[in-house]
Order: sequence, then C-alpha cells, then structure tokens
Amino acid sequence: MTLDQDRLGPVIALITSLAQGDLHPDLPVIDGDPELEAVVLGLQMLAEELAATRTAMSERTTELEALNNGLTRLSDLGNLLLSCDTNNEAYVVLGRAIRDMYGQLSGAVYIYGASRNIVEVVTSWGDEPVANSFAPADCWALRRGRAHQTSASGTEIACQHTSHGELRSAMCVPMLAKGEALGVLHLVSAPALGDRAFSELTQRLTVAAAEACALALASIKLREQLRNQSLRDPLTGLFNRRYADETLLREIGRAKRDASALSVVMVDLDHFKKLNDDFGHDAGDMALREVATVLAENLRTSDVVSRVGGEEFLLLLPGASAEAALGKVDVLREKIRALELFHRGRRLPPLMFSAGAAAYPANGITPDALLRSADKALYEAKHAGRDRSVLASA
Amino acid sequence: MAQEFTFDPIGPDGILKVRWAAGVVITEALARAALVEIAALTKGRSVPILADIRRIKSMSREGRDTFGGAGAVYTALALIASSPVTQMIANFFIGINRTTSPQRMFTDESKAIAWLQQHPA
Repeated sequence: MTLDQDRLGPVIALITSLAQGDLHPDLPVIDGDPELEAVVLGLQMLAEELAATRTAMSERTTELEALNNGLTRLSDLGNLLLSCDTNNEAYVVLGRAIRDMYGQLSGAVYIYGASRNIVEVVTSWGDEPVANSFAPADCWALRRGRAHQTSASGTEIACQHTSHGELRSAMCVPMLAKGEALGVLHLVSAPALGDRAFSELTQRLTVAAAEACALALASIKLREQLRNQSLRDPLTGLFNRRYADETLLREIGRAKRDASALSVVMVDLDHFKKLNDDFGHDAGDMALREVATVLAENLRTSDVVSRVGGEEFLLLLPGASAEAALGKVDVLREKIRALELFHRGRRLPPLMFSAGAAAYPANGITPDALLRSADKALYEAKHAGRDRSVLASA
Repeated sequence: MAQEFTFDPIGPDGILKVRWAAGVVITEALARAALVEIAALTKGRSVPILADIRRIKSMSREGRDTFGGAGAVYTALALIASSPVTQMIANFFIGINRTTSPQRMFTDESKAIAWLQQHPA
C-alpha cells in the first residue's frame, strides 16, 4: 500500500458510504493532516445538506400527497354538495366530508337563524364539545368576515364560543356566498394535539370546504326560492293550483295505499265582485290576504291550502272524513266572518264564503273526479243562497 | 456562553468584529446568542460584519442555517479563515447561503476591512 493510499483510505471509505446512501456515516479521525481534515469536514457538511434536503423533500412529498388527497376529497365534496336538494342534506354531506378529511378534529357547522342574531349548529362531529348556538359577535371569523385561528399556546384571541377552559387549537371559517355570511365552519382539536392541529394545508382546505359549502347552500336557497315562486301564489303566499294538483294526486295515492280518508273542499268568497266594485281592488286583495291567513293558520300543517282562482281556494285535508272536513269549514267560516277589515277608513262588510266538499273515494277516485264533485257541491251551495257548505252526493 | 465569542468595540469604520474562540463548535444556540448580541449592539441596523472564525473547530448545520437566515443583519459579511478547515467552513457557508448581502472569505484581516468599508451601514 502506498503512502497516498494510506492517507486517502479513510476519505475513500467515507465517500463510499455516502455514495451508498448513508448520509450519517462515522467520520474518520484525522490528526495532523489539515488538508485532509478539511476534505472530511467538507464531505460531512455536504452529507448534512443532502440529508436535510432529503428530509425536506420527503416532508414536501408527504405534504403534496396530503394536498392531492385533500383536493380529491374537496372535489368529491363539491360534487356531492351540488347534488344536494336541501340544506339539511348539504349539512350532513359537509359534516361527513370534513370528518373524513380531518379525522383528528372535532367541529360543527353553524348557520344563521332567521333573525340573524344567533347562529345555530346544524351538524357536528368528533369528541370535543362544541356550542349548540352562539351570538355572531362571539365569533371572530363572523365579525371579521375571514378565517380566524387560535393555537393551543393561546397567543391569539379565542372566539368566545370556543372557550372551554382547556386551551385547544381551533379554527373558524365564515361561509360566505355573494358577500353574505351564511354561517361558520368551526374546527377544534383535542388538547393533546397542541399547535400541530392546523397545518397550512389544513387551513387552506378548510377555507375551500367552507367556500364550497357556502356556494352549495346559496345554490340550494336560490333553487328553493325559484321552486317556491313556481308553486306559490304571490298575492297570498298560499300554494297555487299547480302545487294543489300535484299534491292531490300524491294524497290520493297515499289514501289508497293506507286506506285512509281524504277530503277536498272548494271555497269561494261570496259577493267578492261587489266588494271589488264598492271598495276597489286594493280592498279585494287585502281581503284575500286576510282570508288566506285565516285558512293557513287554522288548518293542520299536513293540510294543504291553495288559491286556485280569483277568490277561490282549495283545501286538501288528508285523513279527514267528509264530516270532519265540514266541521273544519264551519270553524273557518266563523273566523272569517269575524274578521273586522278596514280599507282607507271604511269598514268592509263581513266576509262570507260558500264551500263544496268531496271525499275520497266516495265522491271520486281520481283528482279530476274528486274536484268535479267538490265544484258541483260548491255550485249547489251558491245556488242554495251562499254562505253555506254542501257535501257532494255520492 | 459569552466566552465563545467576543466583540471588538465598533470603531470609526463602523465595522462590527466578532471573534470566535478557539475550539468552538458553532451550534444553533451559539449562533442565536450571537445574533441577539449583534442586534443589541447595532440596535437592529444592518452593519458590515467581520467574523473571525480562524480558531473554531467546526460549525453545525443548524448553526449555518441560523446565520444563513440572518442576511438582514449585515450590509456585508467578511469571514476570516486561515486553516484549510476554517477556509472550508467559510467557503461552504458562502456557497450554501444565498443572501442579497455580499459575503466573502478572507485570510487577511486588513483586506477584509478594506472590502467591508465599501459596504457601510
């Protein structure tokens, strides 16, 4: 072995180790050879940088995999949300998706109540406690209109609704659509997770999930509005003829299947043309709205009240026999007659109506037949002097 | 910790001179301690710095990283090295850390000072 081989042997061994992927090799001890010592130190520093780069790349790869996974789930969530027909469906979908995305986190979706002075939980998940409702002012995300995060170390201001004594990492993201806050997506970690709960990736995905949910909720709301507009009478807010026809067909099917009763009642205000002539159409419209209110407020939620003509209303009363239907109509008659209506300082005359009732299956087994029977009975009530109810003959 | 490095009084040239003691391994903790003292001495301003590492034993990766992220501390950095080992450390540090402030290795302190004077605070 030559002198150079003796001298360089440890260095060659070191380089061989590095080449084999061992970035933390045992370093040879070299005394009295400053140049060689510098070479070994240089190699050591290169190995350290390589190891650091490898670690950083590994972490980055893990992060990118998580991002890819998250984006896939987010895309799935978006598609699912777009398929939701109701808000409740969307809440369930969102809750499950977020739980899948962040298994270690608990959370809840809060939506503004009608009065907008409170947000109420619509879905929640996980083991950590979350508030059932709170005032919007108790949430910094809702106050500021952007995501708010607090760490377990407690250096940030915590939302009041997340104050549970023990410090936890938490995140609130407002659900904004068309500039309006619909609610807030809230995530909270177990205390043991400390400040590691919300990585930058988690934060970005949470914001994206909240945006997707907000857009879906806004879309559902718009569809509900359009559906309502197509099924409601704009003057009274009651259902319209189209909805009544659809519902009657459905209710007949149910009555047939369950062998249950079903009655329909045609209601027509008496002397309504004269009311319009004497007091004007404004007064007529007001009278129609008041009658609609009485009808809607004094029937069960399972009953369906529709305005099907100018001053004509159709009542669908599932489960009600013809006699029970007439009893209900008598109550309505008294309440409507008792209305005291004024228009431009003038008192309107008491409102009266005629009604024709028909029952399934005695007076018809199809929507057309049943409505024809009720119409015929109504005609008879009018013909007999108005302000009365007539039951269709079998 | 103060024995591991000392500072020369800042003279009219405005250069801050850091002298690292013999046999020191510059770790992250030492690097942080030095940066804290530098910030106190310069009151947070960027100044030309001369770092005399002629007698150190080595510098850990974390130590290099800490100094590497402190480019705003100096207008220019001159590393004074002598032995092959310290020259290797200096060159490696300069090669790895990309900062906007200029940094160079010198074996002659007077040349380093002359160069630093071209980069005043």
